[in-house]
Amino acid sequence: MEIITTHELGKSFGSLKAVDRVSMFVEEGEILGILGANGAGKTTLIKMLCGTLKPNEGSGQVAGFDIAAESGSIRHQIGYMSQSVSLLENMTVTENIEFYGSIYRMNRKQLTTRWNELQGMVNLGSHRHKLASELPSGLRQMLAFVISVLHSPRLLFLDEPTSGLDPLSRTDIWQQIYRTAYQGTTVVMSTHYLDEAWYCDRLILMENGRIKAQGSPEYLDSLAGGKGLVQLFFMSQP
Amino acid sequence: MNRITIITSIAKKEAISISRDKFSMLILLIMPAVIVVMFGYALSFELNEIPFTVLDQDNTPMSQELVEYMHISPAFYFNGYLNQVEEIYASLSRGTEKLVLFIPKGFSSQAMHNMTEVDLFVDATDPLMATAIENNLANIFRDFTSRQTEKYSPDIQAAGYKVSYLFNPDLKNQVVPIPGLLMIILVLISAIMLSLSINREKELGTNRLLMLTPAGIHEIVAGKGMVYLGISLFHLFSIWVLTEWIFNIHVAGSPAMFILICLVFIFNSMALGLLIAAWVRTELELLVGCWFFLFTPNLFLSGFIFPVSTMAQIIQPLAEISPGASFIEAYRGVVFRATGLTENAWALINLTIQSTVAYGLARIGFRKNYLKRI
Amino acid sequence: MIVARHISKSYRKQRALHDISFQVPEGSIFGIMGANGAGKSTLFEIMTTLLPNFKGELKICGMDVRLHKKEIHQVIGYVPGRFSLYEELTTEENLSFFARIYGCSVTHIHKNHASLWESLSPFAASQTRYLSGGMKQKLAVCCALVHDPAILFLDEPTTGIDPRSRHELWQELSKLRKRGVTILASTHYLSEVNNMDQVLFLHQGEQLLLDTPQRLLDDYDRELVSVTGLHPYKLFTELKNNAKMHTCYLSGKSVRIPLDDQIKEDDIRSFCRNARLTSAVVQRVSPGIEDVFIRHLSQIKQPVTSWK
Repeated sequence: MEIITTHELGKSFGSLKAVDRVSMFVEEGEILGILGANGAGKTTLIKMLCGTLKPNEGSGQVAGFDIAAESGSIRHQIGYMSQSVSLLENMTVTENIEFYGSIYRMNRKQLTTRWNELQGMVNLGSHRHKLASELPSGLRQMLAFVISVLHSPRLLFLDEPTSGLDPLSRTDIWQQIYRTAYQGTTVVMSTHYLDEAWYCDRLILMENGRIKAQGSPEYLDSLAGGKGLVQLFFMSQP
Repeated sequence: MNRITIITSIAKKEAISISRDKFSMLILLIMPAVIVVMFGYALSFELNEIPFTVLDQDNTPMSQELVEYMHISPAFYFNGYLNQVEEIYASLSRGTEKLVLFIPKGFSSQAMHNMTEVDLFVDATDPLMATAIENNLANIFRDFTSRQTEKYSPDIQAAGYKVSYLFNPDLKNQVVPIPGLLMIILVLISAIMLSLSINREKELGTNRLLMLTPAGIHEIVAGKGMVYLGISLFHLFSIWVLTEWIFNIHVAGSPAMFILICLVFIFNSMALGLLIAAWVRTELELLVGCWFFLFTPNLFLSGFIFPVSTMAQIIQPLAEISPGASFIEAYRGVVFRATGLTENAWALINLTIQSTVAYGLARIGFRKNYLKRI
Repeated sequence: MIVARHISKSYRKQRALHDISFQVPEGSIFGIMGANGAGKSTLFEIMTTLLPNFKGELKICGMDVRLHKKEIHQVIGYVPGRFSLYEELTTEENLSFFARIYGCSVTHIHKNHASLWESLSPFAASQTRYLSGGMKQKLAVCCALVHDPAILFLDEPTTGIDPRSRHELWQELSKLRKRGVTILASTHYLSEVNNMDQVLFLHQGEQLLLDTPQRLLDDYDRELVSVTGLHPYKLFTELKNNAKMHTCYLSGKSVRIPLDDQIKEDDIRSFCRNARLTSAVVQRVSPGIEDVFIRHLSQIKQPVTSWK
């Protein structure tokens, strides 16, 4: 079943077409990776799908809601982790969790149950009294991830979730991404790491606001003649 | 109900954030109190110890009593006798006295028969203060007259007075804001814009690149300072031209003196701006710092809005050394009273000392902080 | 060219660098890897004389960074981590600004770094705020080269730019290396290790590894087995729950298990059969650079994730 479908979706800022007539779909439960250079339209597309940015043209549905008209309802269905991690820097790990829990309208019992469940899997418990600004980068990112899945969303958007991390922290985040997907959450993510592109079920490659190619990593690799995904960025026509 | 939980949790988060951020704490909790105390004093409309001199040609017990009446009043302060009429003008143009009381011969003898009159010469370069002086005089003369009636005879006529305004005889009100506005414009450009632009390099990260080139902080400051000095001078001259043509106010003193005063003030502003830029991290801190340490004191303490002499005594010394007050005082001196180097020496020295100290501290600050990551 | 001995640096209570020592020979590419906050930027600040207050000794071309700042500035070029040029100036104006500060001309850039300049020249007259990330970075490299430095420092030059520009930038860097320029670059893209002659891996301020990429791979002292299956996560939890295989980790869709006395390849096969992981494919693989780093990282710290 498709949890996201868009039809000729577009967004321009002045004369710049950030996203240009994009038609795409996301299957429920899959991990979709969006590739592309900075300015290719990845973040704009993700923001429109999250319902935080209104499209100029075209239409789309996320979890059964129209992205233009029912963005409020979409926001209850999704989790979002942005590139610039939106932690409350001078608050502790627990305070961060409590704050976002209340934003997601979870009551104390729900929050405690969920937090205990997540603490079992990520090693944040021993740092819970530390300020977010004092955490090493790997744990910060993990905290941001935990916050984005706190309310068990149906759909999870990740904007470069592993950028700037050491290899071990990266595999930790990926474990969590796989776990979340395994439990039925659909994951849409953007990444700069081409090796991580291989970890996704399906890829969308964007250039100048348009979709240049899409398909499984293996399919895209075959498009590039088996010489690595980086070759896709050198091809003028897919 | 859910909405309320969200609002309260945001409120809670905000409270924690503020309590852990020193800078926010300073602004939100301490600053209002400081402002109220500081400017509460600045805004007391009482004349305080205005120095005056007396030319007493009558020299009788009654004339001496009049001087005493003036001196007892908290508004005025007796600063000695003059000997000749020529000294009146000189006394006022020095700027040390704002008021000269001239008691003509026969003051007390005439008082017995008909109305008698003394002359008061008031320095009107600051029209607001001149008006305040006149209001105070009215009270003093009323008290003095009723005392004389009691003492000698009920027939005694009221002691009258005639006020003459010197240097700005028409009490031109456009004169009031011009030095203040000029000061604010110069502070804006030479202090705030310059320090913002130096801080911008830090936000861009180009400061680090420049530090690895043969350029150092002095070259950066000098290069940028040149541009903002140019802009400041442009505005200085355009305002000068405007005041001459539109408000018909001419610089009575030497133009060179006028330009010297303005230049010294511009450098003072730049040094103070640099001092703040050197010790803050972000652009926000810089703006708040400039607003709090440069802009408001210059606005309230300089005599721009409220004459320095009407401020509470506690704050007066602070007001007197504030760069804005020195500038406005010197500006009024050179424009209206044609003051020269000796009369403006205090203002020029005060501004120069401050600039030197501020630039020295700024250099230390830049050495310590300029390359820090923000 | 660069000799660092026992470099340490602390900010108040926080330790940024601890006992770092390395040498960089002339005309080589020296890579510095590590997570955000591992100390890469601090090390760059020390090497570029921006941070003189540190413990240890650092010499560039035989000169102490604390004593010969001015002389060192003449021989080094620096590309900071963040794009640090004047966005309201054009490409050409930025370049000539730096050239004039150094008192040299831009023509040598046009001549000696023709391939670099060629890709930039179409944008010579446009304000740099309109350039793409890749172009900005190339311009920053040009600006750092105006005085023909012998050493070029690049703090995360490829972060946030697209794979194609990343690739092209590394090509330019290897051209510079051939011209004899010594290059120090940091990155957190593991795949870029192949461009480096030596790599220093920092972890929370400590020197975790220092070697050539090839030797790092050769020194991997375990046999490595990869298990792939339908659900990577399910496969991973099943394997991880087995005490003998607790060292396993996810590498993309496959689970990797370093072999030791406790566990052999056949044990894994029989475990998968018994656990009815029928779709699992077990195969021997040769380690990649990621496996090397993870092995060293997991030896010093407990993994972030703990499993019950």
